[in-house]
Amino acid sequence: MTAISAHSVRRSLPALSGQTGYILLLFGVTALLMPLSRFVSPSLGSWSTVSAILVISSMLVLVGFGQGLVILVGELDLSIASVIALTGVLTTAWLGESPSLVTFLEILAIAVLIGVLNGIGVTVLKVPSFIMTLGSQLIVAGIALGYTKGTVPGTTPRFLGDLMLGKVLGVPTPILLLIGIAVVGFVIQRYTVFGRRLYAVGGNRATAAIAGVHVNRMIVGAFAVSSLCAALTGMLLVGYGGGATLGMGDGYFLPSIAVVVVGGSSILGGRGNYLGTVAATIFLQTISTLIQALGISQGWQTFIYGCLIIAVVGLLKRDLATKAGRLLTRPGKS
Amino acid sequence: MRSAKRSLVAIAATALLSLVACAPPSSNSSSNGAAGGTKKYKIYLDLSYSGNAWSNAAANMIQALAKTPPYNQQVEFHKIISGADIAKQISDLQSMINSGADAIICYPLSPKALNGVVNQAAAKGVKMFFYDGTVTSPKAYNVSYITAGFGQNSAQYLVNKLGGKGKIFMNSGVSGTATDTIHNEAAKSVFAKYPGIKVVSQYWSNWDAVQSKTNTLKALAANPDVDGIWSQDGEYGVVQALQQAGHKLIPVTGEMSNGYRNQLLTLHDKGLVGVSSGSAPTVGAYAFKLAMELLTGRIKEGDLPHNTEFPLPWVPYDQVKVGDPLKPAAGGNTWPLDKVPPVFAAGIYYPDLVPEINYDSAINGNPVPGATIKPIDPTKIVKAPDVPEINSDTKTKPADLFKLNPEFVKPIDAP
Repeated sequence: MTAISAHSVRRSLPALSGQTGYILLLFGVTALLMPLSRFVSPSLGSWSTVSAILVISSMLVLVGFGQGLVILVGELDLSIASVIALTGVLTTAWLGESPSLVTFLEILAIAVLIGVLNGIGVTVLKVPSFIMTLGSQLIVAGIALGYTKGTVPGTTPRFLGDLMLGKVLGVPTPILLLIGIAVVGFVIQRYTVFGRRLYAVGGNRATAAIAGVHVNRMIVGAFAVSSLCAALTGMLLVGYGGGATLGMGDGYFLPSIAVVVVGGSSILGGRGNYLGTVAATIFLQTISTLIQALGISQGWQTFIYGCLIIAVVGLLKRDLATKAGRLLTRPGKS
Repeated sequence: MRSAKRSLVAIAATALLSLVACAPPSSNSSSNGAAGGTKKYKIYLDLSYSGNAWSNAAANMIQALAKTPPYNQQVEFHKIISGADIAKQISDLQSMINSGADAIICYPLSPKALNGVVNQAAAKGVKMFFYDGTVTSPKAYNVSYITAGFGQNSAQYLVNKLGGKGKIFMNSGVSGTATDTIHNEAAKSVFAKYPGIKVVSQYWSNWDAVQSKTNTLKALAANPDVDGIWSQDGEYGVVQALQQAGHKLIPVTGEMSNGYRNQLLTLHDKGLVGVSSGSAPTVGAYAFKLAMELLTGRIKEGDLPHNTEFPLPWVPYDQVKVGDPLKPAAGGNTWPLDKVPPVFAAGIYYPDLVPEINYDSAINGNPVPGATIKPIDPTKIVKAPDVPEINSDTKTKPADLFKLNPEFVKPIDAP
């Protein structure tokens, strides 16, 4: 590692520690919401509430990880909803009929290919990622619709149903999955060479390139991982929902970006911590459970949810981000 | 650098929105049948969104009929997919009218926005038939289950199973649509008669099984002591949520999904009871047949009501019968989950009205081998009530709109 790359990595690390407080705060607010929620409904705040929220969160944290890496390098992946739907369809159609490891890997390979093409479009063809992934989102949705002609064939592979509906030592397996994803995701993003180079690319591409990082390769890699995560989410959703629908990914597109941003990552790249995304996922799912329990109309539920997202990002984060920013700039600016 | 990036984000966001707004819907057209010397009726099928199992099955059955004798000789058939954009649907319908359509079979996107184009069609003598969804213009023909009483009958069934008291959830559809509104009102009209019935949570899951599961899980977290759930489409996910939460199985009423009917069959010994009702995709094929009866003069113009009711399917848990999709002649109202997906609308057989189709027609659009079109018995045509804002331009709501069908369910006394 050259001196410059060591500098660039060091430069991104204070940002991480500056965010720890925010992440702890997010977890803390979520934990506080649980007992407070009893004012909304006396049954809220129980273990079954926590369990339900964590089960629902287990899929969003996975999409959020992939989206988070893409956002970390300063791009966005709008194709995940279609990738979720396509892999869901292929999971019931191919894997449901004859489960095999080869088929499983084939489906994941298709998803990775979509991600790689997204990345090549962004890096080589210089198409802005908004446009590139919007285009591929339409293409992938078209393939899924054309392939199924509207009716999704096949059945749910048994192992996926068992995975998403099962329990280990009384704990629903999706919750264990969530913990596993959080740990693995945090380690990959924070401690692997791949993860650190993504920070470097997101922080400053020119500096990263001078430091010997293959910037384009890293960006393609981020998109590939994002698609892979979306594909795995599609599979989990098939197990969770007992089947695939063409619209099954629709509810994950905007939330995947929301959890990353509410989790404290910069939408412009270079800054973020996966545990923030995990905290934001659980926080937002808790909020939406609470809002639903208020028993108000759908219009008001959506309205309040939207206001809360803006409030959190706008108010809660600004203060902390400023402090984090001071931490960041003090040693760096010379 | 950062500000350049920021403006790029803004520009891209704008571009994204405009691109989404003009994403082209797919369309396809096909004509069919042997070349004959006689004049063929030009029939258009205008679909809205084609990406779900219900609308796909409805379109497939219509296409199967178009290939069934004698329609295969009488009809020049075209299918257009308008997508979910009302402006596109209007312009598609105008093109069909201008290209000399004799009849248009259409899934409408709005009860009121299409009235203008309906007037244009009427001026040119084009017969317009809307299925499942409805329009308020009296110059079109609506064929729908929407007034057939799904909401109140399924709600009463739930109330009866609960003995007239208990806490319930309402899993509704797409908030703000006419269909969702009338079903909710009808159900609540029943619940309101029982002081012991408390709706502790109502949520909107967009008629989607996965969203229904997630929302029901959330509602169960707040109200684990719920006694029953009234659900529109998506009920398959509702039952799954009970299982996921480890909740005891309770009465759940719902619509037509194959998954739910299988659940009624396999889980009723664990406490699941319910009734499968709702909208059958066969309604589109029935509308097509009515259009042909009108065009061929078998039914006179004045004899066909503006609003024709499609019968409400009603399959309580103890009447679920698994059929074999490969032997459709043997009947059945449910299909094995390893052969037919859970979201497939299971009830497709209406021997009185549309005996010409089978499971293969619904899935693949194939005509039944050897079948010919049977004329509709005019005494079987049921006039639907006129409901303001839904299927009529009248102003007054019929007083007995939410009456129960005594063949399905009778009210119990409030405890």
